Amino acid sequence: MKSPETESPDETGLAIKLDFAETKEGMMNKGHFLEAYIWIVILAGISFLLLVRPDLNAVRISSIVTFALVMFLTEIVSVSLPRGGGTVSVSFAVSLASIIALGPEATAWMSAIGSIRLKDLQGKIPLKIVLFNRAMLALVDGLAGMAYVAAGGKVGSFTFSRSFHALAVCAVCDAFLNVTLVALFIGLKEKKSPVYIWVSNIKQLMPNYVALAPVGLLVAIVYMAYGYIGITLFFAPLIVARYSFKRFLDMRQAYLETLRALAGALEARDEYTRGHSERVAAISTEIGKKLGLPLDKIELLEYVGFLHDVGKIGIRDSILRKPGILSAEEYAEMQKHSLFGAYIVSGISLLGAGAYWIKHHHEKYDGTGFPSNLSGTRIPIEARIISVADAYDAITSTRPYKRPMTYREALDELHRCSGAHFDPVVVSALEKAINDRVRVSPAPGVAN
Amino acid sequence: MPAELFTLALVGLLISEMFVLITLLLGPAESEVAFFGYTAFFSILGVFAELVGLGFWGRAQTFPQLFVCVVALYSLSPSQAIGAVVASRISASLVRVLLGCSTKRTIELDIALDHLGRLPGKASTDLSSTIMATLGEAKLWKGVSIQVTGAFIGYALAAGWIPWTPFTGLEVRRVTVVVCFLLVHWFLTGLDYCITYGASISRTALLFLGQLWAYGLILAVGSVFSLLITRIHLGPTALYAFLLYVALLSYALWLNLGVSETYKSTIEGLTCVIENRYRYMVGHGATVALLSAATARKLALSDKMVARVYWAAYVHDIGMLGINDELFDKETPLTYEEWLEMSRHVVEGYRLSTMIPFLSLCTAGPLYHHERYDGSGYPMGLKGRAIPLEARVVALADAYHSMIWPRPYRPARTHDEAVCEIKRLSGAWFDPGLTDVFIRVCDEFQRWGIDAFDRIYNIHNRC
Repeated sequence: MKSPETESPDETGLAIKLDFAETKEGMMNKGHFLEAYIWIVILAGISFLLLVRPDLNAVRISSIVTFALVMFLTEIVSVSLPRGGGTVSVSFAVSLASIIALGPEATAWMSAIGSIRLKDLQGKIPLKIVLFNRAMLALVDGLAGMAYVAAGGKVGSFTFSRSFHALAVCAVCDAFLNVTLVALFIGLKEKKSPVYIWVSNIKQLMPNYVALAPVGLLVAIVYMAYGYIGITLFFAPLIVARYSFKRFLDMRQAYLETLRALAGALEARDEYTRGHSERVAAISTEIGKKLGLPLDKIELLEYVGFLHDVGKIGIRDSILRKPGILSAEEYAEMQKHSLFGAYIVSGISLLGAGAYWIKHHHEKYDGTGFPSNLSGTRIPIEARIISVADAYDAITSTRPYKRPMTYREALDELHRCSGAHFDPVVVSALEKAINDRVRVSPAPGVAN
Repeated sequence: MPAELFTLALVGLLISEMFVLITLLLGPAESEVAFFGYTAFFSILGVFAELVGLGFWGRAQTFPQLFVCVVALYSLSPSQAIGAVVASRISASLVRVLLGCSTKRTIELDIALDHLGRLPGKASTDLSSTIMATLGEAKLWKGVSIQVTGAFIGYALAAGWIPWTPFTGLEVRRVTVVVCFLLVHWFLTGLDYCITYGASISRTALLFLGQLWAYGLILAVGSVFSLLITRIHLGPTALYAFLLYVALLSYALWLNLGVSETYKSTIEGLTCVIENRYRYMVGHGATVALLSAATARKLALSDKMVARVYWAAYVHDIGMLGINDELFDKETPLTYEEWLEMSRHVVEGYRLSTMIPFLSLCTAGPLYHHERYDGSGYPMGLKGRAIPLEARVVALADAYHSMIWPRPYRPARTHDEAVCEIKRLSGAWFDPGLTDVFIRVCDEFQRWGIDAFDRIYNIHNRC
């Protein structure tokens, strides 16, 4: 199960449970469809719960409460994903275990109670949303449990041959329902297409479900054989896994920050280029947003934009800082910096395809660039973006061989060269971004 | 060479043990289905154990896989257990190979390298030939042999074949097998370390005595775990669900590996590109690192320390980045001011290495590698043992490698001249205790060439 941490539309998109903790006033302008949808789900959840009361002869209340408690504890050990992706917890395993061991009706009630989080209890989330989440989970887990039974699964016992396909059906149902309900919510709220949100959610969450299904199965088996003791045995490894995952995310973040600082330090030797990479990164992300690139690409673009000139540490200062025109050999040597940068970044798996963006960030739209003479749309779009951002910052800043230009002049220059050097679409996106007064801090020495 | 004889002996032992195993299998009491079932199960478990182990340092990487072997030996019949041990060991090694293949760089540089400069991540070969190469490596079979020999001796003791140990009781017999397995593994691994790296016996003994606690832990946890399993009788359902559960755990632990691999790869890339500025520097960091780590191995230092020395040596000269480029091409001797400028690279390197958390323990390499044993070095004039160990080792390796490389102001010296020079300066510039060990390393480096050297010292895998 996942839930986002912030409200801003750029970062939700991946949600199973929702909260809008940071901005309660985000509740203000919702629109009528959304209100109606929220209340429909809440009412549906309540009526579902009332309809499917568990048979208290077959299932004890203490079991339901135990599972609910376990689910509550798994929410505490949930992990926040990077890029505002929300939180991931392993509560699906608990729901599945409860479906197998206690049955769908008990699970619906259990999920409604157990899925509550500390944040909800602390009043950080609006009450409507809290109710919405509970109702949604009760519906989702209850209906998935019914799917399990309908597909032939047995409650209270499990044999691999008979019940395995029912298990698969149940997991698929759970994922499907959960993502659908949430995608509808976000789609209505952000006025975006629910289908797009649905698809990106499913892609992100499927591995989570596939990995957790066996865990849930195991918890159910041990519970059915050994009672409460069995469940406690599984907590330790889950917590280990959670801390491992959290440590991974922290280290990943620390690594990216280190890279940033390092690249900045390497650049700061030269007063002309100090801050250049920062600005190129900022400009590139603005262009990327205007062009509607997906969020993960934009985040990557920011880091790669920061690193696009890191290859220059392999070029001698006598060439880098030469005030005059470069000779042919010097120019050839200078061209190597995109290869060097690509080489360094290609070993960084976190930055994925970013190496190619750096390699080609000096290609020209008409094919006369280096190193590979790519032209037109064969150049990766991100490389085209970095190319334009790089040129814009170079034009508007002081260099040893020329004076800076105003942004008007710079845009005119870019337009003149678009088609030959730059992609016209990217240049117009930059123009739009500038005109929208996106704050791009001027380079030192720029004249306005 | 003693190392090769030892390997041959172990591989021969393994082959004879396999014959015995086949004889046992052909006997009436064994079921083939169960044998292959358990072999398959434990090979998968071996894969996950390896993934989990990759999150640890050095020798500890094999401990989860040892744990799996302990479980197998405790809970299965002899032939099944030995099959399981062999399978898990082989699949664990293949996982390592696969991971090595997947972390190759996607973009290679075609910088004209006309001299020995080993670019890290070079030569990405295809998967099948790498697997064949791994399966053909004696190292793999040596490892298998050590484990299987331990198991055999354990069974022999437990079955009372050695007359003075008539152990009775099923649990006692099982524990005997496991204890024996671990003891033999510990001893033979130590012996292997001593013979392959040429470390002195006393130092190796010290290193391995320090690891006994880990073996004890594996014994304790493994026995308890196996006891639980043999009592509870989980069916195949639960077993396979357990496997996937372990997969989840090992995935989480393996992710952490990815970040340190990323640091390593970044440092290698940065160093390589920085070195490219100066024609005579390409491959310097990598080679000095190799020599230093080999010296550390010969000193039987812990794996953590070897890794520290390796990375401290790798980045010891990145401070050159902040120095004026013309100084490096100068063919005449440096003036005093120019020499001062050059010596700034020590502080620059220190500054850069403190910015990277991965190198936080390795900053002594860049900072102190120009210190001299008699205190006349720079920047701080430290004397004797006050100089950190990494820096003393790096000083030796740096001096040697610089000498056998051409420079703008002098041609390259031969290996013998370099060794002579180092001997002459031992005690004045270099730590005399380290010099002898280092010279042995140099001789091996000269004889075997860089690729064989890296393979034998097993540095790239473990650092």
